[in-house]
Amino acid sequence: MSVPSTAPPGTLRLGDRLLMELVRLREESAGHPPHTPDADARAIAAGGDFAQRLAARAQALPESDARLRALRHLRRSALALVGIVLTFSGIAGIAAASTTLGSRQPVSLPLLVCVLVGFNLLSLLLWLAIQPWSSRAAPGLGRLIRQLWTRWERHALASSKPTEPADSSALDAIRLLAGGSSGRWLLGAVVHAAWLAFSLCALLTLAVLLSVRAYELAWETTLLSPQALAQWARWMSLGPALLGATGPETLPVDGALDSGAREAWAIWLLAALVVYGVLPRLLALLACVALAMRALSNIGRDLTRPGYARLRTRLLPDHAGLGVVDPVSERPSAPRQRVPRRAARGRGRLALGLEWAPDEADAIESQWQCHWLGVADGAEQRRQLLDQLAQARTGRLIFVARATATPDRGNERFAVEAIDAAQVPAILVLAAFERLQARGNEATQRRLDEWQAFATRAGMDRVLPWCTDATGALPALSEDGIRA
Amino acid sequence: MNRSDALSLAVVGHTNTGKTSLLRTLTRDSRFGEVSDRAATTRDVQGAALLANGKALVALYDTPGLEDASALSDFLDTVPGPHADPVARIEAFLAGDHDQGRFEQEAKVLRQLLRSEAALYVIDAREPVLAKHRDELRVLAECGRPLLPVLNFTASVDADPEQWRSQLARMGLHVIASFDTVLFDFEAEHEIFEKLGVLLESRRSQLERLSASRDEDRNALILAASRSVAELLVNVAGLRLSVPSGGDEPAARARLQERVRAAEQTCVDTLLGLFRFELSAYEPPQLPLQQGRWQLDPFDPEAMRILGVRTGSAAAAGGMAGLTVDAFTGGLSLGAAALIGAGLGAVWGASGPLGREISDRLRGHHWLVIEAGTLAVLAGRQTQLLRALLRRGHAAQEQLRTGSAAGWPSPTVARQVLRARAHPEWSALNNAAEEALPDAVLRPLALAIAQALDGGAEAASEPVGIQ
Repeated sequence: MSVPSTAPPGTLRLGDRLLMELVRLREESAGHPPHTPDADARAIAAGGDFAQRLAARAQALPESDARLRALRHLRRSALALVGIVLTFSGIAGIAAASTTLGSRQPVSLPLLVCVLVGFNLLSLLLWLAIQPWSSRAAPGLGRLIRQLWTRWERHALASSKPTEPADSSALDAIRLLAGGSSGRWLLGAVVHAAWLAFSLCALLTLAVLLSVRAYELAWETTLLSPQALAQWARWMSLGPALLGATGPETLPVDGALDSGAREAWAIWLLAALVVYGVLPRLLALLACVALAMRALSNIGRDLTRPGYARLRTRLLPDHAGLGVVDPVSERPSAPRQRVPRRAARGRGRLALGLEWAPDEADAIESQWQCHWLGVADGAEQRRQLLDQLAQARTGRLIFVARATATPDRGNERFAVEAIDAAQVPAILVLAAFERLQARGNEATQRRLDEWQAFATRAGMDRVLPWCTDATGALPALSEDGIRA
Repeated sequence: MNRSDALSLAVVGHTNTGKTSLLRTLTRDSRFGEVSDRAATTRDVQGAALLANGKALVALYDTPGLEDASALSDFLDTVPGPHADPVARIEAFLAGDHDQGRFEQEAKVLRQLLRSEAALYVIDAREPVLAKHRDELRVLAECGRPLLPVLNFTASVDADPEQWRSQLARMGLHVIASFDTVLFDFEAEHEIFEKLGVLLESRRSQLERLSASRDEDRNALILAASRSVAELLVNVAGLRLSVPSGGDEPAARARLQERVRAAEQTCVDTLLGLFRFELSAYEPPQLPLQQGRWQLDPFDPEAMRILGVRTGSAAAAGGMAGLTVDAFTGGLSLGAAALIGAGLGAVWGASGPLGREISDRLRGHHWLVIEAGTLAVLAGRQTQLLRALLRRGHAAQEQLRTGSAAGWPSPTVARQVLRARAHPEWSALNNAAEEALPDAVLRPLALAIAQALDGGAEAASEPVGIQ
């Protein structure tokens, strides 16, 4: 390929595609892509496939700097927001772990599990339960985030002056990112990340506190029977057992726990936090990130959208002019001399055909009432006709041409030579005129004008149309050949 | 851009056979060269490259018409040179003064032919085969380049392509393409490149690439156009306007209709914008529009009558009940609620003014939606416009009369659009700022519309009840 390609197809970064989409949204809402010759030229110069050219054009547009600034601003704000959310969740995790652990002695193991894992697991199950319907909420989610952003912007940037395109670019970008399924998965990822931060911080806090301080741990209950409590403990140990932590099958559940049992239960607690708190959220986070990535990779991929499709011929032209490679020669053509009017050399008339195929010529000849010399078709026949004309003594020469034919230089030269040879006045009859008329008035008039010019140049006296269909007797022939 | 490895083709032929028109049609550029219905309009040699993905694959050169081949043939016999090598004789002729400039125009043609790899010999199929054409072909054949005769104006009643084919075969030209520069047919373009590939074995892959690229462009165009029609239909189908009971219903109805008209005009503008190149082509397609607009309003009963859409039932009057369920499900199950609403609305609508009255009083408001007949009108005429833009006008006329799908381009389209009536959340017209239209809805509908453009064999088999 002679075209330099900057990257193989499909490797446009998300930022490039977002910029493309922002341009598309603007241009689609304006109704049509504006005239941007500079950006188009740069896109064509950049080469590559259609998507790459679209991206190059979006970058070359004068407003792209403002748009990129808006995107960067949005990204920074989003990252900051996520950072804040994660920090607060982490703090919440630390607080939850330390307060539950430090509230009183002995510490209830069921309470610890409920506080540190229960809410987390419950909200995760709730999130899973609403997944089948959440796609319907996606547009509403995008709208909500946009409204929040607008308020936030108005509030945060009250002093500085945001530029209009950048402002709407950020909103458009939110619409793109949050309006479709990507918004749903991105939000999910943030929620899972927050709970993950909560669980990890709680886990760390527990590990540190349990390492440096002695806690009384107990399986406490007020309402449940000891058997039910033991049953609960067994169920809850299914997860920690996966990590190798020993549970109620070897450890005592009720009564005061000795130091060995306390240590084993502490390890069990940490394992429970990992299995029920950290791992599910981690898996959900990974799933959401993967789904969000997939959704994001679809942004700017559909090039059949009208905003893109209308640029196709501009950025991927299907032809290019190569200019004139062999210009009109300036050689002056010899001025044609007006052929002098000639007098009849005898009586009668001689007819010859121009532009007839052999079968048509026969039909014309049968309808013709005066002497028919033949059809001037091809160099050989022309020579014969010229010889015949040089010897003939006649009053008038009649050229019977097919009206639909285009008069050309070959015929013109022959007509001049024939009139010169015969030395008599000549007229032009346009036969099968009805076929020309069938092509419409405009075409008829144009062709008639051309034949008129042809006749004038060749030195003929007049042009007569002749309809050779059923109605078509030759209109204006009189005794001496031509009436008037 | 590298043009040196482009296949160079001279476009030659008798005068006024449509050489420049052929170039204009192939390049879709109405400004290329100069065209008129008379001899010797083109006097210089001008080129245009056909590109695929930015790369020039074929360079076409428009030449002046041959006007006096018989005399030229005679003159060439007098040019000194070895009789066994006609090309050398042509070269000797070109090096001379072309009989004091008499054959200047013919010399340009032959010179360009010698510079090119092959030639397209354009023929006006309405003309009879004459001796001068044989002389032309003889002179051109002496240049030693492959010739592909291209029969132009084949759609004309005067055309006699069979006679040309048999005569060309007698002159040893058996690979012949036909092409009508007035009634453009995309397939005919393919044929030219395909047959060139037969003549020029080594260039075949290049020509196939060009064909493929043009196919791709065209398919992208059709898909983008179908997509904007699909967007219009889904948007209008889901359009909903809430009217409080006792509110100004005629005003709301007018507002709703105005939105539909604006959406339709946007779609028309998009289609015209997409086909900008086609419309600037030589002999642009004839459109059923006047100054870029439909003559009849989509709500005009005449528009429905023309497209064969039946009207007049109670449900088609435009008002349809919805449910307040929407309000307390917080938009989460909007689609399901609206579906129930639409169904109940139809029942209420059918039960007459009393039923509507009761339902209004119960719910405090009702919804205005677009009736199926108007959707059929929109679908029918946008498809008609699209067919005209693609120059499939004749097929379209016929199908409108025979299809039982009353206005709809095909039953599949009808089914999908009518389904979209239950999904106001898909309609961008309900909340203008939202990019809500899901691709999963749009793509199949766009494909169904694109398929319906091809004539839609399914149209006759499956009746769709539209009341």
